[in-house]
Amino acid sequence: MPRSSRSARNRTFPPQVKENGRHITKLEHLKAHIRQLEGLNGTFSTAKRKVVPLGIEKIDSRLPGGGLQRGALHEIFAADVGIATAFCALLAGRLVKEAKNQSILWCERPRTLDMGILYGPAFLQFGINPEKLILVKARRDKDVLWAMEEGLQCNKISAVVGELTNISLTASRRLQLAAESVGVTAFVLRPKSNKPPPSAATTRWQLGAVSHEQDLDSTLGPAKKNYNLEENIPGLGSSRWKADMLRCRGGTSANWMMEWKNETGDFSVATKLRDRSFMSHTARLA
Amino acid sequence: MTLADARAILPELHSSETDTEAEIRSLTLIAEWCRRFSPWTAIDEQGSSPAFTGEGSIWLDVTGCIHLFGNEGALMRDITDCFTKLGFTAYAAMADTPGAAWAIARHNHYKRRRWITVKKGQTRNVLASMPVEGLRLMPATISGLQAAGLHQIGDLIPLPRTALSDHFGSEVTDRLDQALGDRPEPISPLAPTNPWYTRTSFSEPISQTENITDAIYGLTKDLTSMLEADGLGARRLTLCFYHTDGKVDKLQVGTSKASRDADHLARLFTFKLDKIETLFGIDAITLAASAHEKLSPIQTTFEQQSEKQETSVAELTDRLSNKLGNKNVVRLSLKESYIPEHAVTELPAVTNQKPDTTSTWKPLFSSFNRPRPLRLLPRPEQVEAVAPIPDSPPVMFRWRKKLFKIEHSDGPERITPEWWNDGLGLLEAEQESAKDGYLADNPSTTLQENIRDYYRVEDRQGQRFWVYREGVYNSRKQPQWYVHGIFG
Repeated sequence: MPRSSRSARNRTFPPQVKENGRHITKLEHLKAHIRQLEGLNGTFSTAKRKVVPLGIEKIDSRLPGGGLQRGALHEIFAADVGIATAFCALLAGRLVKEAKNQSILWCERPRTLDMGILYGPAFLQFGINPEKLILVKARRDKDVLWAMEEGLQCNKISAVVGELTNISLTASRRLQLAAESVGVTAFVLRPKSNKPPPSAATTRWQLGAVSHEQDLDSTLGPAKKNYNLEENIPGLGSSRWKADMLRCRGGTSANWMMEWKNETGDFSVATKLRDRSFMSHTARLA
Repeated sequence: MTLADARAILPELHSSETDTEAEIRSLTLIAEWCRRFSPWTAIDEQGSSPAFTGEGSIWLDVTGCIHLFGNEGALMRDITDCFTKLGFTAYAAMADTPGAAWAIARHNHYKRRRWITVKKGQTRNVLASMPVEGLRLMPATISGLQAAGLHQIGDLIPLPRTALSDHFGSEVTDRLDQALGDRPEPISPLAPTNPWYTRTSFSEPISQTENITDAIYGLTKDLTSMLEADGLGARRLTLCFYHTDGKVDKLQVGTSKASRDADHLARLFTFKLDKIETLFGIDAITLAASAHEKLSPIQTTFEQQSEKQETSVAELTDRLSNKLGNKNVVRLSLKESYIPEHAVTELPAVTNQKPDTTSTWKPLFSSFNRPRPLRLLPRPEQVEAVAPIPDSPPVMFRWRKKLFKIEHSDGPERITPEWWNDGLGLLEAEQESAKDGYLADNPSTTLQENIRDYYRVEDRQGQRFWVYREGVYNSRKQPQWYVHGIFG
């Protein structure tokens, strides 16, 4: 798919940006130009390049535009399959919530992650009506890529998720361009790999579980004793996710510890116990 | 009487040649019309040829259709009445074999009855009094038989078959056996014709994909305009390729929603074109709508775009399921079952069934009361577990050769088999068998063995599992532990 006339390369350099009638500094100027080249703050198809805020200040501030890009490819590596799937469902749920009555295309390849098949009732907690889910069962990566590209052409689909073992740079670029052209968001769910080859994805995430050793470790610092209080409470409590944003176009990588409260459908960045008042600011997702 | 004799009597006699083709055509129409009596109708092509009497006949296999009309007599009266109303003079006969029916229908006129039914087993007696012309023989054979003094079929029956075949060939014996039912005579029915059918043929065989694609686009355009005129939309299409070497390839596509979009339908076929081998080229292509549904005319508006959007999910599922297979593109649907793996079924996205909208997912699976994992193993996998008795979650378990030490757990959620299936239903059956003395034990053991106690557990690495224990501890049997799902 050629990028035709709207290619960023055809634009004049440097763009004359004015702010409050005054020339902004050279560094800012160049930064804006780079953003424009990357198509993040660009002039073309601004309507399609909307973002979906995750509802958490800490994460949204690190993402360009203040949220997850719509009409882009996002890659999610599964250090823990259950959590990566949940993260995918959560993001897809956010997208569905924005546009009512839209479907999700989920291309399953059970052998990729080897952890069973999707179970419909669990999607309710992420705000997804299981009836709106179209499941594709593919045997090969090639079929998944084809189905994803077909799904990205359909603007009644709000998110396309594909389970893939490998994705080449060319394939990822095709998906990214297909996602850009119609504005459907694509997710690639992959097993964990230590040295992933480059891809054209807008963001790359790695989702894993927070082990108990890590929990007691430095992550929470001085608050660990307080945090441990919760350990004594019987029951599971909220599930803790370690989210690494490995790459972000127009942003920097970062990592967070997230908490998913199954009981309330709340999702938040895990904080120290003494800062628990922040919990009230979290977004309700379901 | 020859034509010359007839002209001598009536000089202004008008004569014309027999148009066999036209006769066959009208007979075919009549045979199709006769499907109102029986679905199994055929024309008697050989018996209707001018070599015989020149009168056409039609077969109707009415096996299993008679009760719809009351009795045999009512059916026969209905048939002859209908033909009279259409302006034909028709004689009908019903017998055990097609041969006997043919003979009786054609040589029963002297009784001045329009129809006759031969009672079961009476065929031989009735046939015996029929002239030999009733055996569907060539005129030369008939005159030969008559010269030998054999005027009635009854004269032929007692004769030795070898003597008959020596003199007249196998024709006479074959027909006689068929009429008497000693030799089967199957009737092949007319193939139903499809009115929504187009074809295109090429002066030169084509083999290039571009040419074939163009031809398919032309065909779908023709077909959709035919469907539009009738207010229909296609649900299933069959495309046939006629190769020069005589091979015929068929492609079928289905749609999830009645469609008249020529481009969309043609695109469904082009995905499958790589299955067609065009070694010697293709002579002709035909396209037929094998299943269709009512589709009211669509009002064209300035906002073509919005209408396009409405159909696009259906079009997407069409494309996906035609390429990947109907069973591989599914939607989820609820089923009445407590067993987690049975509670959800997959229905093909392209289907004729209407989705069941009465059941709703929300109240059944509120995440607070009944937490369910995002990923469910299609078959629960057995694990080696260490767990305190009688009812506690496991302390550790080994699954897929890995050891998981449990830190936290939640549960249990007890799921019992459905009483309407194998739970209490089976229990009752066992109680009965216990009465007979087959099972001396406590009859409730089966129910106890099928109980599942589900726990949500988190291991030291933070992974969350859905595990269950099947059965309860008792002196007889150790319950087994299974992993069934993975939580996020």
